[in-house]
Amino acid sequence: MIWHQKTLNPLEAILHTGFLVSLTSYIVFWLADVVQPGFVSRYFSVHIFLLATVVFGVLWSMVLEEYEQRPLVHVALAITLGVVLAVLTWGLADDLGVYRVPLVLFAAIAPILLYSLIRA
Amino acid sequence: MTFLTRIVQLLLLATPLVVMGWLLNRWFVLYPLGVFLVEHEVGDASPFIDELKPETRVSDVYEDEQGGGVQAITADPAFFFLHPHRKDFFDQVVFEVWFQNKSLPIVELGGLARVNPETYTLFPLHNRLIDESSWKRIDEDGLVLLQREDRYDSLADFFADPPSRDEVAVYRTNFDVPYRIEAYQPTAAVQTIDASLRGHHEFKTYIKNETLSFTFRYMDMNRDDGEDVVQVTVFNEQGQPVSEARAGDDGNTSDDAVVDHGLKELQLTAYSLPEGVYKVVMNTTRDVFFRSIQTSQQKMVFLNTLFIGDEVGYREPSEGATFYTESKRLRFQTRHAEGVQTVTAGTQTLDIAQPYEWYTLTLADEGLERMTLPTGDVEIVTEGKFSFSPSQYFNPDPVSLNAYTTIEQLGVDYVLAEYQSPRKEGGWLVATVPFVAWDLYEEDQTWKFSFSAPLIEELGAELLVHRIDTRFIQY
Repeated sequence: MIWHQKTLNPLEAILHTGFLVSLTSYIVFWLADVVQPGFVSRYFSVHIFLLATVVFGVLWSMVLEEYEQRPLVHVALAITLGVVLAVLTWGLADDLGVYRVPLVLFAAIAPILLYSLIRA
Repeated sequence: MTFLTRIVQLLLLATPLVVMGWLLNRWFVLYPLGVFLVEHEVGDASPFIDELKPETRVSDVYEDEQGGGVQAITADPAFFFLHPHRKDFFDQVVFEVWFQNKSLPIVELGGLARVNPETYTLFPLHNRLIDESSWKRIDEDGLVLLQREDRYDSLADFFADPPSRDEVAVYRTNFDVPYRIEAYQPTAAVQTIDASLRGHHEFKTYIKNETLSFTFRYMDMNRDDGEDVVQVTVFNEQGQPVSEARAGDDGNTSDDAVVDHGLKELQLTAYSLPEGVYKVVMNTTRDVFFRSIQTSQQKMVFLNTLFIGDEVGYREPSEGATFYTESKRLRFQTRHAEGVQTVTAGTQTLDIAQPYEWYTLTLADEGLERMTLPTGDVEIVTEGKFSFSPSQYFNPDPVSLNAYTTIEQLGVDYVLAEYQSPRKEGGWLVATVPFVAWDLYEEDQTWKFSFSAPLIEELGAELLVHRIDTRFIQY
């Protein structure tokens, strides 16, 4: 059995890496700042990584030669994001009383809902 | 081409890792080991140090000829807030303050150590009375000795054969020759201080062949939220606690101003204490009003601050207070319209005309002065002592060097100071000021520091500040 690694042109490879690195960094640095307020934001805005993600993402989409659908990965990511959002909303909506549970449920299903709308 | 692509990808990967490493280094204060340095020039935004406030006492930031930021303090006090990025982590905070002072006799930096009332631990930045003195000067281990005549060659010689207490003035240090009253005889007569003292107070008393005994009668007025514990501690001449009395809260931690228990009593007694001066700290909140103090001690002087409380819910009309002091400069403030009144001091009067305004009374005559507050509800601050009868007054501490006098006027032959003159950097003076972190009052992970520049308004002077660099140190 021979494995063929998919080859990308150099610019696409760089932009692809840039996008993934910025997105991962944004999540990690943002979570670090949530866990320990000020850990990042005392020195610079964590949203710099989001900006880099958008820039790399747009540029990557412009040079992308072949798009490969990975629905299972997308669904897994949407579910993960839903769980994270639900946990955060539960923590932040402490004072909202009866609205807390519906808000948490909405936050949990929002990513998968949005993904379904995009796919439709 | 592939190699170059890999290099760029590696750089992209390495960038957040390096940034994370840098952040972790700053968080754990790894390099340099245990020291976190914040360099701050006035006018620059910083997440650690705020700008100088209030705006009414400081100028706008401007640039000097070298393009550096400068801010002038024009009234006293001006302050700033410091935000350490880790709570309860640092042991020491050391400032390097770059400043210019052309005319103020003494400039100090204080760290807020306690609130209600606000109390600062002060350290000198610049003492021109010492720096410009023509007396012989010895500097050793952070101590300065000034001598009118050349008698001592070192501080070791001075401490080995010290002069009498009357010959020495001190500044921010102690002179450990004990105070003794040779002719003192204990009596069994009980004296009563019939004045309302609000919140934290400190006083000194003298003990010789007698039992230390104080009976405090107080009311918990429950005007602020929180527990109101009363703790009275006695410290000996070495600063060691030797006795303590304590009373818990009345069970009402709300701010409903309900006083269920009326007058409560706290007895402080200590037997067989050796002769000497003892400091008593009445540590409590502003909700607690000491309505009377009974004691068999003959000598009793309150230190630096008196807060004569209102007598609402205790007695009508309020009887205010009469007290005595040798201080020549006192400041008064009330926080309520009901506290507006006229203070009588000998032949002088001072109008406390409106709340939240500090009024200064300057006295010219030497000796003990009688002062009367007709209604109370006034905070009084001075660098000196107060008693509630002339016979109770004594001054167990050496004369203190302050901004309102000169060394010659003190009538002493020596000045002993804990002080290091600021070094010169270009046109700036640079003073190093260390604070112990646990001694600072912290709220919302913030410390408050205040510049003390007495006489700044009277002299029309300015204190120019250029940089405040901070080293947070973790041992």
